[in-house]
Amino acid sequence: MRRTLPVLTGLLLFLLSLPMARAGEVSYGAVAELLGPPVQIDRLRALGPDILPHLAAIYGTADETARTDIARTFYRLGWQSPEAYVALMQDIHTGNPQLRLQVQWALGRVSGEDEVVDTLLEIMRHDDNALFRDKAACALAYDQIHLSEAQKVALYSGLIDGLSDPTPQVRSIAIQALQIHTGQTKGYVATASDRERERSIREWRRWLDNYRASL
Amino acid sequence: MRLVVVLVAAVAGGVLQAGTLVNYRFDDQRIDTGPDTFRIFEYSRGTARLSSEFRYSGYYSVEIRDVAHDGDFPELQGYFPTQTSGTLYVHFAFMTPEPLESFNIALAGPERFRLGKDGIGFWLKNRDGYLYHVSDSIPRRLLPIVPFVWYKVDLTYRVAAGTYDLDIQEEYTDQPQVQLRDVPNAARSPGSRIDVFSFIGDLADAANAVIYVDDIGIRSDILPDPGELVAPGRRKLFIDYWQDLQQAARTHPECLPMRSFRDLGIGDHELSQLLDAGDLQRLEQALQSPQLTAAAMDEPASTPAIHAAAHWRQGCLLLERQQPEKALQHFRQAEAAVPQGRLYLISATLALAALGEFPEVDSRLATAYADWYGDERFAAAQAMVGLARDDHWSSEEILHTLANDLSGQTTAALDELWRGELSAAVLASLQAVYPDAWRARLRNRLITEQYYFLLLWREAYAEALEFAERVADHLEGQGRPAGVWFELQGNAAFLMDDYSRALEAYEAALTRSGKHPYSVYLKLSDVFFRTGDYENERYYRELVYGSFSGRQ
Repeated sequence: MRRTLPVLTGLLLFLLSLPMARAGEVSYGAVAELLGPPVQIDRLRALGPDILPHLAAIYGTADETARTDIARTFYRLGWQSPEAYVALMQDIHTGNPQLRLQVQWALGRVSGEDEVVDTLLEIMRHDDNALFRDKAACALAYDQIHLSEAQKVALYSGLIDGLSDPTPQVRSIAIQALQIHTGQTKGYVATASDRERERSIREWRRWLDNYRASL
Repeated sequence: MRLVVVLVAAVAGGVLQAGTLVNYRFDDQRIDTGPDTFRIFEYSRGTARLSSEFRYSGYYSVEIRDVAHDGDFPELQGYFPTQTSGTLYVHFAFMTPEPLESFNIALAGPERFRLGKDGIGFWLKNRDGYLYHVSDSIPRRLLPIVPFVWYKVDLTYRVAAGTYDLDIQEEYTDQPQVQLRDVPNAARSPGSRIDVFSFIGDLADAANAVIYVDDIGIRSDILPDPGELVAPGRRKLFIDYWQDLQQAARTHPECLPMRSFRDLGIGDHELSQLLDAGDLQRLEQALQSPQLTAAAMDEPASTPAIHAAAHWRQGCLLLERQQPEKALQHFRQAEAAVPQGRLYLISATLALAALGEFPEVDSRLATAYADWYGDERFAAAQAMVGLARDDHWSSEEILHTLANDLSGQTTAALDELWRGELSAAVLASLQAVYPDAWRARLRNRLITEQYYFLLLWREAYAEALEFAERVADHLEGQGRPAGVWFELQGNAAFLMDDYSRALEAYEAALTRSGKHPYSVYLKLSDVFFRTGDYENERYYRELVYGSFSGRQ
């Protein structure tokens, strides 16, 4: 009861202080124009997330060079978009390296779908190209910005699995990604002996159990 | 001996004395932004302002209001002396009317807001209406947040152990709802240093967070005495930092003081490795204790950071004793062990200057220039090089050389050389265009600045001012930007206590070049402080450090 009056007063003051909602719609043509080149990212950002369906539609009809620029634009905006996710997934295995890297980086910044992390983990572990493996780990380390805590557990679990990979480079990029997420290595060294690595991996698994239990 | 004092202060945190690091209630006049208080970031449409609508105590709190998808987030970021040991007692109160919108509260160290050694030590955040703290890199749920209710937070943070106790209590209740004891810090990182607090909106820029903050207090049981503020938001004016260096090494080249482990090429990762291996204390001992240095110099290559630091320390002692040849051997070993240690590079450069090896000195200075520009220690290094190089220079001789250099056919490489910052790329371009004369041209460029700093070093301020004016005239006469030389005129005038002349020069620096405006803003703020024009002092300081929206 003592709390009621200040809460109601606070609510009223807060509602009065809310900014006016922004009105207006964004046209396909306006978005296409701002894609340049050069891409006018600040002006696109100023238009807000309404531009995303248009961007995805333009992506679907563009050539590889333009798709590379649009993927980079999705990345820089960092806004969630189901349309962008569908569009980008079409190119996740493209043979065009520039486009491929932009898509790998952008996916986690447009979507929190489980499939994004699963796909990037698969690339990190098993792609034939070491560059794509490395950049998939980068994307897993820095760009999964829409994940729930439960999804993060899946991501960390996949990275911890990568610590046991037979390929030293995979082990190395897996621990780098884990360190970027957590600030810790738990003594793991990718080139250490099997026994030393196993000891550290057990620590990581205990940590993951704690993480899971905290959800 | 002076160096030892500087190092002990830098590494160990200085004089030990219990006391208050931070105390902001936002109800008095102590709300000046600055390098030694706090900074306000109001990027995009986010705001940070004083609010009288909601407050925990007194008349005002700070409201931080984020706007989703506007490209960034607002932030209140406060500074205090780096804490390397002891216990911090942190208190603050916060309230949000929007529990579902994300915000973050953190204490961090020199690596700022990332998980890891010397990064985030303590982190509170809300997600989906619940307050979490991050411990051992795991977000752990604390309590549901009730809108419009103030929460009082009391944190006892043990720096060396990397653990903390946390109490959080709702207003109008008798007992804390959260009582945690001895939990690992954010990244389970013992010894992680702390020197900044932060209240910010949503890191992902996806929320319309609003958070009110009040009564921020931080005490330490082992306090590096921060000293009194000499001007709003700062404990020293820029001119004081220069004079400190000037007094430290006036007659011959000496080592520059270390400010952070990064000066020694020791980043977050390397520091973590040293800590994990139990070597951090040995590194500090190598830097502080001459009797340990010999042993540390023989360290196996598996600890290059300690090996390099020990050689650097020994080299500094020898340089101080005017034995530059022996000092250089140690600096070269330090460089070889940790090539990214910029203090090793500049120390070797100073030893080379003492030995008269100026061609190598010039190349090294050009390479180091961009990395060091704006750091008053580099200006001191240039003065010391000028001091060592001084072959009875005169202003006339230098200006004559300058005029000759600029009077011939101009090239892009020459333009770059004189435009402003030097770099390895500028050096490479110069070497390509002038394969036979690049050394002479580089020398001419460098000695112009070195001569100016040498005049300042010798307290020949009037001569330095006149020299800077004439260089600016020459450059502008050739159609080249001379903004930095107006800034240098301002510095000399400031040292002469000629504030109107300094003001004129700094304003010219802003209008003529537009480069490095922040350094000029801060100097203008210092000039206005000295002349008692506190409105303009605040205006220029707040251009750099921000201000509360709508503050009158």
